[in-house]
Amino acid sequence: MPTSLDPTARALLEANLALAEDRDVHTVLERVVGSVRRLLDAEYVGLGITADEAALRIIDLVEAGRSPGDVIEEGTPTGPLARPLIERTAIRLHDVALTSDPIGPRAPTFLGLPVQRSDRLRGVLYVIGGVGQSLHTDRDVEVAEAFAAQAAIAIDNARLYDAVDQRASMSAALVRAVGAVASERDPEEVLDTIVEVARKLVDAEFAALGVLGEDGVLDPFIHVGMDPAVVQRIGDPPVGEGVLRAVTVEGRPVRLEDLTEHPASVGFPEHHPPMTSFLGVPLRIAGEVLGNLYLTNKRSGSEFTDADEELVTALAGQAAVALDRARADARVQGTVAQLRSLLRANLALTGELDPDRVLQTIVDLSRELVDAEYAALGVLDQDGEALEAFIHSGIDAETVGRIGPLPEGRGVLGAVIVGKRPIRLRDLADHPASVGFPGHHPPMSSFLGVPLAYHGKVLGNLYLTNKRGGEFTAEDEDLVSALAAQAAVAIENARVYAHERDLVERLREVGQMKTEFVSLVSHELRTPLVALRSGAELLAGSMEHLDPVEAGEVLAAIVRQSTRLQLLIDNLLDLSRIDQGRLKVSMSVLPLRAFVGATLESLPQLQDWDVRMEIPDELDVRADEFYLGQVLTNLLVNATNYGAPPLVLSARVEDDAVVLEVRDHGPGLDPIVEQQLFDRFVRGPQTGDAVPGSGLGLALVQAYVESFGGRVWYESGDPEGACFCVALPLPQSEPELEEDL
Amino acid sequence: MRVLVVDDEPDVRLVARVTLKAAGIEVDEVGSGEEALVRLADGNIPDVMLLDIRMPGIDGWEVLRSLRSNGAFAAIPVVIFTAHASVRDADEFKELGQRSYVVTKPFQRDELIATVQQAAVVA
Repeated sequence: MPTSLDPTARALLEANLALAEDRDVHTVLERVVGSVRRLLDAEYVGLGITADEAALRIIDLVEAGRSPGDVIEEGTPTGPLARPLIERTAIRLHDVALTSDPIGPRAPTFLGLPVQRSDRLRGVLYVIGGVGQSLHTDRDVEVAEAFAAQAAIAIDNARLYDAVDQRASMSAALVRAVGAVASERDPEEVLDTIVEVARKLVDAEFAALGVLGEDGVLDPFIHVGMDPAVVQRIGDPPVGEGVLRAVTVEGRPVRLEDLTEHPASVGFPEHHPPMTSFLGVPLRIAGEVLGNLYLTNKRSGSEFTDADEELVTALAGQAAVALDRARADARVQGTVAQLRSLLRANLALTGELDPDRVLQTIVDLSRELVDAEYAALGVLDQDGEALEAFIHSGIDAETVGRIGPLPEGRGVLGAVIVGKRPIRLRDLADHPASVGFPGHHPPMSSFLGVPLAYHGKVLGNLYLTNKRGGEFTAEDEDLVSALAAQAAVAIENARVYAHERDLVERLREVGQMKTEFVSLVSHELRTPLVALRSGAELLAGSMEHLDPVEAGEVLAAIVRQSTRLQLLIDNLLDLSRIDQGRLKVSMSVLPLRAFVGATLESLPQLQDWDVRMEIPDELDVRADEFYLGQVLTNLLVNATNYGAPPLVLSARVEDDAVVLEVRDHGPGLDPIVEQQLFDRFVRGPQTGDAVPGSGLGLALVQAYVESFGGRVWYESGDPEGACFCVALPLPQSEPELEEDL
Repeated sequence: MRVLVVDDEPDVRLVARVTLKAAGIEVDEVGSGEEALVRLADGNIPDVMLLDIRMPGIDGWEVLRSLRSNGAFAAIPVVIFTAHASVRDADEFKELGQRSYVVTKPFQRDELIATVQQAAVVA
């Protein structure tokens, strides 16, 4: 550089070169203040950069030397220091107080001039003092203005570079945000990144992102820029009222210089640091608003800019994408969980044969899957009228005990069954069919009831109450319906199985009875045959060797045993007829006492017995004469075979019947025998062959008495003996006679 | 020779008694296992016992078990008198019946007499 140049021109040239070479505004400005101080021989030179045209606030200060009282500083200048900024012209003063305080620091000389370009303010240049100088000359002012113009260019350049830099870092941040979304990280993490990036990019003090939850509450609510202690003092996250609500409801950005001026502003919570400038944008995707992203208190300016809004809107879009994907994932996971649960239910069903346990599993699973407090399953009886089983989950045994009897399936539960459709209620009490619930039952509010249907027939219901955290959803209904279908199949299977099992058991019994029948009948037929055949052969082969009296005895035995055989065969035929409904009875009115007397006469076994006839004379009964004779004969012969005298025969009128009692004073019957007394082929365990009998006698007695419209039963004697009671219809109990009375 | 007929069917006892007496055999008869044991305990030891199996109360097998386990009666020859032709297959027969004879009912006069006489002789 030539040394012959005028120092002023030389300094200007240097400043200009620095400007061209150096992009750092501070380096340039330091050269400017240095040159001005040297050229004007000043005590102090300060160059302040202002924030913007309107604010007249110094945000950055570059100094050379020391100002009197150190009064030039960042912030809004006052007094003479403000004048160049306000008047937009060079201010030259002599021996002046530098602040509005008259006894404050003073300057022997003061030169202040605006740093501006194209009439737009960039800052201010102060020149103070100068040894031996009085007032700055015009030339001094010109020199200062020349350097101020350089400074303005430097500031503009620096701002331009900053802006470019900022764009670049914004792009990088956006790329980061998009990258976070694209990398499918945990949605919370993505949202954290977005909030942080947004705050940094638009240079806000606070930033927050709220996701709309139930009832408009913002949950989750993610925020940055606030001291954790302050957060704790504020308490609950915002519920999304006021301006935040305006953002989500209207679904478009809101930008304010002062938050409190918005008509929807409801103020901010206690302990919340003050908020002025505000930018809020909705998180929207496919026309749906999922939440909002907002920032407050822009630091580098009084309000958020168009560029900020554009940027935050782009970030909010990314956040919405992340949220939407998280929701879709949750739905898929929900479906997978449901399928898994159904699979589990199915496994439980196929692995379990006990229907009660299957149903318990279904009730427990339903409750768990839809997160309900209580669940219960009612099974209707085969007539479909009352609950035959009630299985519940979520209520402890003690509470169940206090509640009392099982529900009858009225009210809403009945409506589920009658309507054959699911019922889903926010509050059980809302339903018109609601009848309230039993005392001691824990309160129930939300309700989901589905019918257990099998081939169009309702077998019961499955219901759940009190879903935790809200009301039952359509998905819950689908899931519970699927489980209910499984339950219906389990119930139907159990019924079919039980029916089959009964049938098999019955067949087995019938088979066993047949075997016993064959065994008994063959024995009973063979026993008389022994004496018959052996006796007949004896007589046929060695008649001449036999004592005539003994031969006669053998003949008599043959006759007896043939009669016995005849009786057995007759009994079998009668039973067979009864079984086929072919027994013909002809009813007539019989005088009971006379009839019993005649029967007694015909039985030689009773000739030597103490028989006490206590039947009143006037009693008549309606019966078939022949078969009533069979009944009496059977009972009387049984008494002689198994009982002991005295034999008491009595009768009384009871309701519309005459009850005839045949009571002996023997040992009575074994209680085991009592149970099966009237069954076929049943004989007392101790009976064996000691007493002739077919095991059919009492079965026949019962069949005959029932064919008269009567009834027969056994009572054990008091204190001893056996008593058979036969209730026979009174003649007056005929319907047409009754009408005449 | 004296035979004790034990059978719960009176007419069966009657025919057996008449059959045996016609062959010159003396016959006592009882209608149950209990009575048979009482008869023995009273010292009336028969030469042969004709013993029905299927009887109420103490049945034929029980009577036989009592005899076999009692030194005084163990040697009494027994003719099992049964309607069941397969009596030799019964577990009780395998346990108790080795030295016994069997006559099935209905019986033939000659068979009954021959078996009773054989039992008496072998004993």
